[in-house]
Amino acid sequence: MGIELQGLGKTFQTSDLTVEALRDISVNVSDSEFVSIIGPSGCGKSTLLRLVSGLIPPTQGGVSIDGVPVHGPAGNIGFVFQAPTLLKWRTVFKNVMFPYEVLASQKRTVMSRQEYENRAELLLEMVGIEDFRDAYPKQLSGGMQQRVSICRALLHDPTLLLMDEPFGALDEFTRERMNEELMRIWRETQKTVLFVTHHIPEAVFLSDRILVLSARPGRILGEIVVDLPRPRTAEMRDSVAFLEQVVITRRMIGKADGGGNSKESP
Amino acid sequence: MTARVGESATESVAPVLGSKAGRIRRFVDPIVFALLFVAAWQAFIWITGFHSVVLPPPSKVWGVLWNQGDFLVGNMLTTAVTIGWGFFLGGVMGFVAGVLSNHFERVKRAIHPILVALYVVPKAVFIPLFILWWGVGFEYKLVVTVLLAFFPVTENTITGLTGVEREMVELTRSLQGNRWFGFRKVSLPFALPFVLAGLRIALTESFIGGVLSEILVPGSTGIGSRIVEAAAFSNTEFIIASIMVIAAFGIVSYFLFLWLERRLTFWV
Repeated sequence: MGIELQGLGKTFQTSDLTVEALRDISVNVSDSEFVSIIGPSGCGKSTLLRLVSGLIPPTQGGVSIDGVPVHGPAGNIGFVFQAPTLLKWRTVFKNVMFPYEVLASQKRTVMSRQEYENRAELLLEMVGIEDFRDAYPKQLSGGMQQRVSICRALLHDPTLLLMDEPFGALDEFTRERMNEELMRIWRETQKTVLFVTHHIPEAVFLSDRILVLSARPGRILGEIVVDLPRPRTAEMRDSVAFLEQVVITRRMIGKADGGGNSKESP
Repeated sequence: MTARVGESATESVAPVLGSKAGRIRRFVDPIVFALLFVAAWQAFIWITGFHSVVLPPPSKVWGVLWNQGDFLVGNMLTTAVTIGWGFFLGGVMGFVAGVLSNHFERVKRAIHPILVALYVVPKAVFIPLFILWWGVGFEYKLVVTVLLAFFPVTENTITGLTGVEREMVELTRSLQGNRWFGFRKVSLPFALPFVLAGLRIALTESFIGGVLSEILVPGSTGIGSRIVEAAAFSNTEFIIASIMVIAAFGIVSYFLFLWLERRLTFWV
């Protein structure tokens, strides 16, 4: 079970340009595992998430989630993007309820509206913004908006949470707090997470495993198993073990940057 | 973890004009200015002794408004029918054209050159042609007004719809939402402020279309025709009074629309 990427490759083809974004990505992610994907910019990290979600088809290989091959979007995925991408005309609560409405439009809901609403309330409580349920996005700070976005991603109880640099637009302090909070949410929800970032300490702090991608075409250059104890705490960031992991990761990324650029694909 | 108060930005900046004194000032200032303007106008004529045919004193304009007000407003209402229908039809057609060309790449490719061509040509050049086709009656005036109202709406609808965040579209797709759902729940509300801004421009364009189409055909109905006729008799006070009536209608409809726009797009 879990997520299986097998020989995944993606080449984008326009009339006058061929770009190989990803090459031969093979990974297994087990249930409730937290895996980060890190690499130089333009290494196809976001493309990888789109492939996993079925938003775009792969050129080679395939993805399966819980043994089921992915052919197009299946509605079992929660997305969190770099920008909160909330609907500005909806209240916080109605934003969190958005996935319910999409699923209901396809008659694919698995619970009653009331049950989804209860779940939305619980999620807002979990991230500590239940008092803002009737506020509009513009009334919230960036960090709070991103929390709403996380609630929205979890509403339909997805099998897999895909996070595309979700805290990249936040200041360092907010980012660290959100990291701690994400750890708590992850513990409580037991989701499998694929987390794209280019922030090394963040990847180390959050992950069970870190996959390092090379520059384009993105290949898996190596994998770092983060053997820091859980639950991870803010104090842990200052520990020698943590800093060692950061250094190991950084060295591997250094290789990714150097090695990948010399040989461009045609 | 609970949200910290300092993190939120809920406190709204009190609008300067929201207070009671502010609300009164909002009306007092423009009225005082208008009165001063009229006084200066009257004083200018007294001092310089300008001939009243060239520049009539405010008292004479007031006289026209007082004695022929019904006649002027009646003609303006006729014009307003053209403006209203032209605005409505042009707005609807502009919106539909915008939506279609945004959703179907082929439609966009097909109609875009024609739209640009129509857009860059001064609309007035079509008027002789339209008169030949439809005569000088209501149909011709309506077509001119529709043509003017159409473009700002199309343009703004396309701008609004193309501005939708890619991530939001992907989120909807990842949950297997179809295009119609995405359009209704994501794209359309997102584009609404743009569409309304386009309609607001279309409203003023409709006034141009309605009055201009009449000005070119003296002897027809509507306030524009009355203005050209008055010009033939150098009846300047009548022309100025007519302009004031048009302006009054324009101001009222513009602010009504603005009010509606703000209510519909409260989140902007």
